[in-house]
Amino acid sequence: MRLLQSLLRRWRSFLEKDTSNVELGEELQFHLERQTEENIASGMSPEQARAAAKASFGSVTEATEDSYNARGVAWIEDLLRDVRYGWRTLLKHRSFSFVIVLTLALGIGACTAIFSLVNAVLVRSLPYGDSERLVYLFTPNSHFKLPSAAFGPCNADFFDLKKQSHSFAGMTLFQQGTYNLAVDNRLERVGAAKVDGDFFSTLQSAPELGRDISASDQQPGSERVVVISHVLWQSMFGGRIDILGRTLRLDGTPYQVVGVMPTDFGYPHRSDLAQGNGHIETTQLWLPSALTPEQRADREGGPGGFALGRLKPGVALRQAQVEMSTIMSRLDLIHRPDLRGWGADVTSFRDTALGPVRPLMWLLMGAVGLVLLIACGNAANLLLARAANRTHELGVRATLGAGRGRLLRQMLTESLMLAAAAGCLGIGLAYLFLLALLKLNPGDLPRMQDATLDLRVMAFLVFVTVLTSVLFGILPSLSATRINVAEFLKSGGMRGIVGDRRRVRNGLVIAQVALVVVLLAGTGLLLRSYANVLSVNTGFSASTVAVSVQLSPQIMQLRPQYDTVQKVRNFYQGLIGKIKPIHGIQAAGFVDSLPLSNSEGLTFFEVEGYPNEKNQLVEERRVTPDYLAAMQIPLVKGRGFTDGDDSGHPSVAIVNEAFARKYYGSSNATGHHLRTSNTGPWITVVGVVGDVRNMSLEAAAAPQIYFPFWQLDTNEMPIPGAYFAVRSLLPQVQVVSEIRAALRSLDPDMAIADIHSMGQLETQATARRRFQTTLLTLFSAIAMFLAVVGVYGLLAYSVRRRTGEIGVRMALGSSRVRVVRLVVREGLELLGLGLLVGMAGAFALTRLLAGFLYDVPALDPLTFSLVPMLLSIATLVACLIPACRAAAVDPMDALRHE
Amino acid sequence: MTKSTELLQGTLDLLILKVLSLEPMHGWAIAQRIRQLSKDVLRVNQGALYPALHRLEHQAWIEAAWGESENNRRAKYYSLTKAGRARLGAEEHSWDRLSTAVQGVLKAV
Repeated sequence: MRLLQSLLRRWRSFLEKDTSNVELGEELQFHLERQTEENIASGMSPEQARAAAKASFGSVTEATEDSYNARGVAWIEDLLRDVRYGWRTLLKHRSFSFVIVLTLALGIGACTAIFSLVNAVLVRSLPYGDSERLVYLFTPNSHFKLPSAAFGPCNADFFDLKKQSHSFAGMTLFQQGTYNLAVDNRLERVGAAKVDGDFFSTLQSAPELGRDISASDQQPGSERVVVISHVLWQSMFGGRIDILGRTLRLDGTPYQVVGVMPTDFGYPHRSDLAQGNGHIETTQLWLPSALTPEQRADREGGPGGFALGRLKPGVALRQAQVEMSTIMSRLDLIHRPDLRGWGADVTSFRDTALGPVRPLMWLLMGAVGLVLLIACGNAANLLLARAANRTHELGVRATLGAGRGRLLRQMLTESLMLAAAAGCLGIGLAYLFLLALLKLNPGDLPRMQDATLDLRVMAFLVFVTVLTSVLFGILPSLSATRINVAEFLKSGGMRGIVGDRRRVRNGLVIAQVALVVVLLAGTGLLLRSYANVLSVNTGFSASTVAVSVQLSPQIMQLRPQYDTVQKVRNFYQGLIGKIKPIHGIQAAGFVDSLPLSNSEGLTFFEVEGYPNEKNQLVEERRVTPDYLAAMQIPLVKGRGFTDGDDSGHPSVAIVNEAFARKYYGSSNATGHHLRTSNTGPWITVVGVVGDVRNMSLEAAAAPQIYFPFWQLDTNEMPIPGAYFAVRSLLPQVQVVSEIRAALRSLDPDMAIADIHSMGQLETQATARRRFQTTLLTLFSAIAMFLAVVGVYGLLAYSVRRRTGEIGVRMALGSSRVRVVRLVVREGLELLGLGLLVGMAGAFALTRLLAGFLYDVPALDPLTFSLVPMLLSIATLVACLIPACRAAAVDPMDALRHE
Repeated sequence: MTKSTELLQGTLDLLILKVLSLEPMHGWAIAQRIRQLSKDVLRVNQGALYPALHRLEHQAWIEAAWGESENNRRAKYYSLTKAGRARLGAEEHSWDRLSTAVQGVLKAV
């Protein structure tokens, strides 16, 4: 407040400067006259009196100036004068200013664009009230070697926790699922969440239209209501206003729309749950879970879904954890004795949703920060070069009495003006960069598409701009204003700048080279990792087309068409039967979890004659006979499945090579036995197939088991959803439309979803890596370009300055080759030092990259030898241009010039 | 003017505030009053007086208004503000402490 008042007063004084100067003159005049009168009164003659008064007063001008300065407005005036002067200077050296502004704008623009991304993904608050207070509740059990996030609490545990805990302001349990949504004659598969009455209140989110799912909707008979997303409202209902009360069909069952959620609500997204349903990118529908009393009391049926809680204000996560652990230790005792060991894990929602992308965000910010630093280095070097040409001007000003602080302020004003221009240009560049960034969107960065240049991003830009101006302005300003006035005058205005500016400039270039080395080394490692990932043998054919067809449990319950295993089998077989005869189709088969589709089946198992661990788990897939052929997964030993391998026949299995090696010690595993429970019948291994990368391209294939699709245990429900994999010579579009047509003729209510070729899934699986590698490569290219320009600029300047010296050398008999060598040596010395420092930095820093690398050591010899080589070649080229110019110097001209 | 005792840094502000605490006066009168009260020992250099007055005004410890002087001329009168009065109290207190301390040292040695 005081500061503001003082500023206002200064500003007023500044605006009223003329009046106040007149008043000041009048005031001083009055003083003089009063003194004169006094002198006359004491007996002096009027002339004497006036002279004595003036003598005692001293310099009127000085008093005026001092009084004026005492008002504290001088700096405003200085600033305006500096701005005017700076503007003229910068305009005069147009190309110089242009290069600096462009260099900095590049750095600032890139920084701002990346920050807008970080802002959207990490900083901007999630649309769920105070999202810091949201936590997931898991009940991990150490019997199962699975991540804690896979253990949502079972229904009974959840309701007991809810009753007994005091840490939460709200708790909700929800299940994920996908539905065939039919509106009029349009059909689509959508991701949904079945929620209880506390779901929306816990998330502190409200519909934009209508109401949310309430507790009364959970009663049997009133559970046929649904809240839809804004996107669905627009796409399926054309955004019509009378949406509320309209009916839509989910898996053939009518539901009534009671609400529409706002645009930014799509919880749970795929990134919101570590072990959620991989098919659901964004949730489009919310319907009541409507649990029956028996379901609510269920303690042994596995996870009842995911539990989300909102901590009460003032309750720390750790307190909630302690409380939940206490309650779970009580509840554990009423679980089935052989599976006891249920624990408690309270995990921050933000960490789950944002944790996995944080390292990438830091990596990008770090890389772009280095680019900005290098740009600053270039700008500083240019300013230093120019400061050398301003020796005379600054010397004169110092001689006339300008203090160092005053000169410093002027120089910094100029650099701030340059930075401000760069900042303005940077906004435009940031906008373009951001557009490009969004084009590169790998699709798995939450809320990335929402990145915009909002107010916070603009504030960041202003901050970066000011920081930049200080970063690149301070060194040249300090060095330029260190003036020895006596020396300056003695040398006739030629010398007088104290200190060796060359050292500063060389230091800057070395630092730039070093930063580029670090950036290049990091990029090299990422590129190598990316190449390694691309060359991974996935184990399946990329051209196979796969679509998801789902017979959800509710469909099988509600539709008589699917009420027996045989009918379900007829449906699947019918689809295969319709597709297979089509000309050009080579093989078609079903699998329950497609590789790289974010879904995975696991089973307990035991191998005959092997020291089995308790509760060991293995990847398990159920496949129809032609699946392996459709995916071109090679049969290594034994036989594949046949249509005869079903419930009425001996149980058989196929294992992959990794399984065979690990559990049978050889690739020939046929004839061996295994089983999926420690009491069940033994299953015979009839074949061994190649390894497939199921979970991710970057994890080596784990042991895998395949079972026949129709070999079900008694009472076992058929697999509700499956992927239909088709290998053909036809184009993908045609295959998909054939499948659609076949499906429509079998069941018009059934939609297909997740339509991909396996190659597309591979592309998706590498998207994140492609994104980060592309960006880093881009940044490194910019950085290297800037650094090479920096080396070039320094040498070019040095050659120009040494024209006279070179002339003398040549006049005294030095050959042109020698001159070239002289200049190149100067450049290479800088490069060598920069490389040395940079390599040391890279050795230290690339360790931090370990998490981003695939199959490349952090100190990869190839990268660490290629980077210096590349940089050396680029620098050599940059050196040769000024070197040749030096060699072309005409000794006569040069000497005359001197 | 020549023989006047050098004023300690900051002392002039204190003297001006003190003199103005009696009544509003113009610059010349302030200088005169300080000279009289100090029995001709302290003579304020006008080159220092006016910058000091403007600084004090800028700090809002005194305020200025044009008025009629004793010889019927337009003169700028300075008067103490509320903040100035508080400031004067503080400055007097610290001056007392300083002078007592200096005296103590001088007498002891």
